[in-house]
Amino acid sequence: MKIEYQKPWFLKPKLTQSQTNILSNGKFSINLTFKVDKIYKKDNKIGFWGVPGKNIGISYDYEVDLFVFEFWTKHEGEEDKFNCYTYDCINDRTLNKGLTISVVYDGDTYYLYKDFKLFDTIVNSHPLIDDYLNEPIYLGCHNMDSLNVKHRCITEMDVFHFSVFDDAINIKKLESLITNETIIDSTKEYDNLYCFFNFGTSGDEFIIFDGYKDLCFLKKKNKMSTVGFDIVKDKLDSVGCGFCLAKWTQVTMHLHNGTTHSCHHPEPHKIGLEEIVRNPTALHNSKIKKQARKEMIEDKRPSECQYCWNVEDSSSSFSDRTFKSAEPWSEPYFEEIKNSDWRADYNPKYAEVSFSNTCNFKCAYCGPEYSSKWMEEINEHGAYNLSYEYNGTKRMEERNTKPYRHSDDNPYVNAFWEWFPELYESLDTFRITGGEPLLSKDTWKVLDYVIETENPNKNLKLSINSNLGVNDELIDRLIEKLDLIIKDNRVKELIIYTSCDGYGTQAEYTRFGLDFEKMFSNVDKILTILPRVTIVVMSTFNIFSIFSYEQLIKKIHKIKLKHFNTKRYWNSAIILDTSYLRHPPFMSFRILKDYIDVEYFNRWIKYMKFNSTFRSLNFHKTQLKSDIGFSVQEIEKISRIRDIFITDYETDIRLFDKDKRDFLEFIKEYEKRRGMNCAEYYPELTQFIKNIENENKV
Amino acid sequence: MKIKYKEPYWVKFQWDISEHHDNQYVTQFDKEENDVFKDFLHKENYIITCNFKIKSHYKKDEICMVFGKPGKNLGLSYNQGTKTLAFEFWTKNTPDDTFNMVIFKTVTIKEIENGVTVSIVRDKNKITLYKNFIEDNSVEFENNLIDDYKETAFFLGCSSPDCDSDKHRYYGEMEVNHFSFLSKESNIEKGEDLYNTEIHNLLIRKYYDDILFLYDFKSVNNLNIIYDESKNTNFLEKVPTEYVK
Repeated sequence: MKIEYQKPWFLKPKLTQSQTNILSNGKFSINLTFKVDKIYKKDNKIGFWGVPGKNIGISYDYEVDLFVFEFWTKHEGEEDKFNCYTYDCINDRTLNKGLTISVVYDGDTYYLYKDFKLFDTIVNSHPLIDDYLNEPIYLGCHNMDSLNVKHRCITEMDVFHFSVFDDAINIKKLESLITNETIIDSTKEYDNLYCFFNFGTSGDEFIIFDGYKDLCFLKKKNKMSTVGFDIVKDKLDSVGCGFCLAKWTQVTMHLHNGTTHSCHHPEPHKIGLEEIVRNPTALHNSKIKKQARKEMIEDKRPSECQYCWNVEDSSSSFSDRTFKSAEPWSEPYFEEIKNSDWRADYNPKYAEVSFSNTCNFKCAYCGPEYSSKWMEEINEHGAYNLSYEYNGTKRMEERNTKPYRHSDDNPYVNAFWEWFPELYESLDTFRITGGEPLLSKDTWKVLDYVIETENPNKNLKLSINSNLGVNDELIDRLIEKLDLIIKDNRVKELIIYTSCDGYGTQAEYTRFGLDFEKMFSNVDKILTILPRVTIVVMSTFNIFSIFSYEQLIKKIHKIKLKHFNTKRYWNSAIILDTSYLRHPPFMSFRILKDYIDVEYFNRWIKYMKFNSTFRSLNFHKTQLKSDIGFSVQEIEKISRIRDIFITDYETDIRLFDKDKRDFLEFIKEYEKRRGMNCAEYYPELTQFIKNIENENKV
Repeated sequence: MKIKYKEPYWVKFQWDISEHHDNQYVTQFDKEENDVFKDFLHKENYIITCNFKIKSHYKKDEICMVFGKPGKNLGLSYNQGTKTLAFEFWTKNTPDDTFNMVIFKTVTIKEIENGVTVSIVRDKNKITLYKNFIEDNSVEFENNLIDDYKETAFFLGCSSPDCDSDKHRYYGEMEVNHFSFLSKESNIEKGEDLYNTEIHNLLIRKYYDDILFLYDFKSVNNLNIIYDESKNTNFLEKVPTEYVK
């Protein structure tokens, strides 16, 4: 098994087992068969196995070309003592060839073996320090999260065998077990076995359970640690204080109005028609974007990226510049981008595209730019006359970003198709947004392309947004196309992003056009026919979400349970992705300050935590139905909203006065235009509405 | 949910769900005994409501307890021999404590087999029994419950699982669909409202904060812990086998 650089593995006891590090029990035998190729990526000192903190483990120090065994012991009334032993009998060539190192401790003496031959004994009966009690044993590093780079000892390595016994085992016995001369189940050493892993060559696992005793498992540190982000940020800063890989690797193209941005934070800018005629990749490599790349390479901060500069200047947190540059679709291209000319075109790895604003919904918080239904309403009735013009088209006209009609010939879409065959090959992620993508002919063209191309990009993560509220024929057609893609293994992962912000009729009020039951019956249909597809429910949490969100959470939990399988990339068939609505501010849940209780949020979090999952990724055959639940990320997103609600305890309630008046005006006009009475849909808001009316003497 | 014979549950702990162990928050590691359960039955006002059924073929002791506390018995007992459902408890007295037992007069065997909702309502020194929220019987008593009950857990599916005498463990197989405790309240209308209100609407009820526990038997996690729909984290846990004789 290959351990990748900066992605070490660690040994964890199962939840039902004692969580104490096995090495702290007094006696042990620990064996590792491994190899470190010359060309492997590694630090100056590399750890093969080790426990973080004051280190215990085996390592190799390239600065002095010595093999090292080190550990800390405790001594009554004295300070902890560092014990460090170095050896030249193991060198770079030995590591390159591969070897087995066994460390056996009987409570008095450490015995060190290389390929089952003793090369040192260390007499030391002092117990190991308590720091090791709660720490796991790592493979492929010593202390991944150490602030001191020298203490991390990270390496890429091949591991063939790893075993631990909670007693000192005779080396002959160990040799016959590790070389498979003796089957371990039949020996008396089995009683003292803690774990025994013989690794295959596959490298796509995230977790490996010990098949012998099943007391523990090895887990890949699959999330980049703070230190990992630190490393990425250092690398970015070495090029320039504003350098961000996403300016090259990520793009959102709004083809329906000819705008683009990288990443999604800067405001989309218009692409000149003359640019795309000359160079269709200008959909991403526009003049404006290239200018920003130039600034980044010249150690400047492009002003359009102010979102990140605000984060970096006002806190010690990482900004999205670091997070997005650390993504697997960004980080590997660091050198290539760093060494590129800012004038050069670059094919993005993560692309989002919207072909058209055609949509059969007109959600209350959306607008004419992204919904043709909204456009129709605004054309007929004009903007909502609140304290400002809500959803007017004036700004679009000023910026020349009025959407092309679906029937129009759109030069941006034409340019996209000219570029797509080349773009497709280099993509890691491709996501189609809208409008409603299933109402756009170009969405079907993309799917047909993926189905028919002779050279499918099998690593592609393909995602499609859909409100799942289109007619049955289109849903069936989608299922049919996706089925073909899946059966032929033409992509790595398929996700359908849909949206829902509440439950039942309360959800239907906000997402005008939604048939709640029909949408979830489509969810059920897709997950039943396409067991490899994952559905993400994007929830734009707003004032109308609160009173039925508990039911939505419970419904999603039921679907998670019903559609459990081990075929997906993700653990869950359905994922709830909650973000809170910022615009328009009058629809924000924040205006309910002092009207609702934090207990709403507490209940959701409690339910989700009760039904939380061990894992967010699917670990294939090891997955059980009982592992299904809400992931930490799903819970965190709701906790964040609760935090905002709590922070607002300190906010002056008068700050929301204007938004409340806008809310009142909006629901009145909404009822007039769409025939939906807010208080009928949300009896819970009746008093709130009355309060605003009283405060404003309406 | 079916509670199997000799596989009782106990109301004893509250969970700290602020931290997780390997991405799971409700495990056997993050709980502690909840002191509230030491004297919650000694309080002057409360309503216990339970919907259950015990089919004739279910395995059970001669007397089984739907719920109860060990020692000098307290709980809702079903006596197969006399075919009676009763609530029994001991109160303090000198020189000897007093045994109190109040029988459900109108609950029939058929109802127990098909499912019945019973409520035990305490209003100071009076216990009133309700069947389907209609008054059935009552008893008045002089002194408060004996202190023995402050030291023991509250069981569902038996009353005394580690009792040396097997006759006094009172195991029974049963199906329980509702089990709740509303404190500071003796008005059965509130109990009925709690029973009938859809869960997601509970938090707008004035009595919401007084629900000590309300179990959703359909929501069971991978460690067999049952969800508490009150604002608390008094989840219901299966009694570990080492405590079951």
